[in-house]
Amino acid sequence: MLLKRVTVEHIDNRTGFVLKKIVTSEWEQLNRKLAVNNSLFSCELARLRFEKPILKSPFQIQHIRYDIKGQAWDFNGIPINKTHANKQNRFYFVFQQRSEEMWDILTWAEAENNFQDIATRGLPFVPYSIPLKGAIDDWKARKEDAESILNKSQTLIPIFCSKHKREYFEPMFAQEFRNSKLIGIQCYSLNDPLSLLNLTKVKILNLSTTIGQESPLILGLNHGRMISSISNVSGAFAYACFGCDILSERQTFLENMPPDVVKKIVEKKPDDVYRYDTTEGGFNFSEEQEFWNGINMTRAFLENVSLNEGLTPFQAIQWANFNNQQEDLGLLNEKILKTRDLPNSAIDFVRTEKSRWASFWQKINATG
Amino acid sequence: MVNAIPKWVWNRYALLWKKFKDKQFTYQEAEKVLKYDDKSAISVTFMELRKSGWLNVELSQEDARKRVYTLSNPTKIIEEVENVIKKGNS
Repeated sequence: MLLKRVTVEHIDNRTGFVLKKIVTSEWEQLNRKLAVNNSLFSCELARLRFEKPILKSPFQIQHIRYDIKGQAWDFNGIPINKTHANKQNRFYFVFQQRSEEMWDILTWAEAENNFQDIATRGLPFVPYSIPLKGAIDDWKARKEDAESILNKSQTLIPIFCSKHKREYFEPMFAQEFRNSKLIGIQCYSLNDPLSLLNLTKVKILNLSTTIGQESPLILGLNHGRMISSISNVSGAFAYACFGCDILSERQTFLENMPPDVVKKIVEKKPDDVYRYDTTEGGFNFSEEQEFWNGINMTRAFLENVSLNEGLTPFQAIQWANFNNQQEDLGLLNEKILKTRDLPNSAIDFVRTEKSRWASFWQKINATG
Repeated sequence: MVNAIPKWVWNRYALLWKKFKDKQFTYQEAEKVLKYDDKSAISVTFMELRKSGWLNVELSQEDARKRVYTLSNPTKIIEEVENVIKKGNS
C-alpha cells in the first residue's frame, strides 16, 4: 500500500483541531484514528478463529518489545502482523517502544543500529528514533546517511520523544513537518512540563497549515491509555488535542514483568478493569459507572457478549474500549466539519458532551 | 439570568442539590459528594454552574480566605427559564 498524500480538509481555529484526509493507493480516510496495536491484534486473531468480524481500523501499528532478559528487540511478530495488515488492506507500521529510561540513554549510534535493524527487514516505513539531545545539524547528517541505505520503496520515518531537549525540538520538528509525510512521536506524561511544551509546539505547527495543503500524518505512539492525573480522560482524545492524527497506546508486555505482577494482572476481575465510559469521555471502574449512570456498564456489556465471539472478558472490554473511543473521535470529526457553518460546534461538543473531555480541555488551556 | 447546563453538569448539580439543597457548603464538602471526581473535574463543574447561574459563591463569614457555595433552587431556575421563554414569545 502506498501513502499518496495527506491533505488538510478543514481547520477549526477555536479548538485547534485540524481535519486531514489521508489518501493511500487503496482508500481515503480522515484522521483521528485509533490503530490496531499488539493487544488488539491478538484479539483479532482470536475473533478470526471463530470467523467473527474484526476491527474496522485502516491502521495497524506494531510496538516492538525490548526483551529485557535477552537484551535485544523482539522482531518475531513482524511477518504475521504484516501479513494480517496486508490482508485487511491496512496501513502497517512498526516501531521500537521505548520506556522513558531507554530514551534517556539512547545515543545516535544505537538509534542508527535500531534503524538498520528494521530497514533490513524490507518494511516500507522505517522508524528512526531521534535521541533526546539530538540537534538539527546532527540530525541532517544522520538522516542523509540513513536514507542512503534505503531502497526506493522505503521511507525513513523520524520518531521524536515528547521529552526531547527543549531548544532542539522545535527547529527539528518544524523541518520534518515541512518535509515528511509521516512523523512519529512517542508521547509521555502531560504532567511533565517539557512534554507539554513540545506537544504544544506540535499543535501550533499543525495549525500553521492551510486548507488544501499537504500536511504530515502525525503518529501519536506509546501514549497512556488514560491521563490519570486529569480525570482519567481518554489518552487518545488527550493526545489528539495536540495534533496526533493516528493513535496507538502504550503496550504492556507481560513477558518483561515479574511473575507476581503478571499473576495480579491475569487474576483481575472484570469489575477491576478500566472501561471507557462514553458518557464521561474517560475510563472508570464498575463502581463509578454505577454511581454516575445507575448501571454497571462493564457487567451489562459482558452479559451481551456471547462466548463464541472468541474473546476473554478482559479482551472483550478492550475491544469495546477501542470501538467506543473511535466512535467518539468520529463524532468529534463530524463536529469539526460542522464548524464551517456553526463556528462553535466543536468547542461546544468538547466542553459540554463529556465531563472528562471538558475538564481536560479546561486544564490544558489554563496551563497553556 | 440562568442558562442551560450540559447533562454531565446537571448530574453533578442533582447530587449536590440532594445533599445540600439551598444551604451553604464548602469545596471539601462537595468533594465528598462528588467522590469520583478529581479536582480538575470539580473545578470545571463549579465553573460551568457559576457561569450558567446555577451556583453562587461567597467568602465565608467565619474565615474570609475560604469560599462557600450555594446552589440556585431548581424551582426558581425553572421560573426564570419560563420568564425568558415568555419574553421571547411576546
